[in-house]
Amino acid sequence: MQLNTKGQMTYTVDLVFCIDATGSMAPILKAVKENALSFYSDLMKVLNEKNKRVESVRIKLIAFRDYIADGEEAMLVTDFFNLPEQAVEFSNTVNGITHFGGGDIPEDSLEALAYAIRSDWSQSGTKRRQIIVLWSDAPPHPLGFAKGKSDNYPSGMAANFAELTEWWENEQLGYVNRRAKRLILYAPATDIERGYDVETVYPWNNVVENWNNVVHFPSVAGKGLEEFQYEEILSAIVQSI
Amino acid sequence: MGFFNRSSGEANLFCAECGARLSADSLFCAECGARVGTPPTPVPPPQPMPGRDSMPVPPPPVMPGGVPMPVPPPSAMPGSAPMPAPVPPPFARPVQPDEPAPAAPVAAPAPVSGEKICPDCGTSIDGDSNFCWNCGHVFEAILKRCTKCNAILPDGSSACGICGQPVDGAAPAVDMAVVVDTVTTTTTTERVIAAASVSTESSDGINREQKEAANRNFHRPPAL
Repeated sequence: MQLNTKGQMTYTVDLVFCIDATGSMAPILKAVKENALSFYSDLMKVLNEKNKRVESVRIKLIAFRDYIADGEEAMLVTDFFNLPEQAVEFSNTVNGITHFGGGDIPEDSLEALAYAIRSDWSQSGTKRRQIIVLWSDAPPHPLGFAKGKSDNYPSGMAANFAELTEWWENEQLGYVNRRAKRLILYAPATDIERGYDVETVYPWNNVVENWNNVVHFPSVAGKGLEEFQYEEILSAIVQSI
Repeated sequence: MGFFNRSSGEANLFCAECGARLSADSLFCAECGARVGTPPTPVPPPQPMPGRDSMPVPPPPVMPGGVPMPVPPPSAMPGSAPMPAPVPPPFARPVQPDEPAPAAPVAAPAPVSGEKICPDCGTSIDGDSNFCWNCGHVFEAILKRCTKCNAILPDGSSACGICGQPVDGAAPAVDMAVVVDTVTTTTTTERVIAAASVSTESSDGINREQKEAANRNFHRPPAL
């Protein structure tokens, strides 16, 4: 256990923001952009109120769309930004994200999740947190949907949901740590009972029901997550630390 | 698993998986990562050791002269039924001591010349710093912003990292196009902004230059 001089536990926090950057996502993108610069200080304030001490915060962005419709713009990632030293760079990068494209309704969110899981997580510190926050107002395509249909589909991607589940759950693979990992999901719950096209849509419910350390905040499909406020998102992140 | 359900109304003081003490509003256990509210993994009850009382018997008080007072066993007290042995918790962990109360705030020392005090945490920082190094508070009022795209300019920038606008505000070089109307032989000069920024402006008001510059931090991920 890592303690500071006051005998409090300290945390090393890595955050990965997976943001659906397709056309309908303007509301949540606006909220993220407006608060990007002050995110670190806002986070520290809430953590201090809860008497949690964080000794390092890093944040990484993954902006995803649709491999078939958006080609080279379908999946864009950054390296980790150290906060607060790189807060300006982080803010400017976030503000440069534009919402466009998407093609059909489902997006390639599971591939974005795969890249998030395979992030270059910090290995230092005893109390680590590896937190993935994913925002989407659409269901995902099944993994591999664009394979063979898009030249930009990456090799080495998880072939199916079972393999992606292995990446998340099998600690021996070393991608994420069992105790450190957290997934906060802002995405619509697929109404499985009403049926869906299994060829093009994969239900988020399968992630929520089969993965450990997942918190799901169901969103209204197609509305850009306009119902979520920045403060409640911040609160969810802090509670998962 | 399934949707996280916090509607039970019960306060979970200890993690059902490892027994660690939980914060009042934790979603996950800080020790083992188990989600709060997850049903505990079934564990067989501990087997009592033969010939050993489950309740420890304190040493008898000593009478003057050093002779211990005889203490009757609880079961021998008249009129009382044998006391049931307390059931130990399934995961024996010491109760965490209460977290110490936060220290009383100490008055911040007067800032040294050239320094200023952070209004959030009271730390003394450089007078021209945009951020507090301790808590990250942003001194918004003194941030320099690009006159063209309003992006924040890091200290010492000579040009905006987003749109390329020089920091001193001088207009960037432009390409001049000369359009000749062959019918009326009127020469019209148009000012063309480099990189066709106006025509490709996206719906959120960020032009292509800004998008490309901001995307410099983005890259296509490598194969996995």
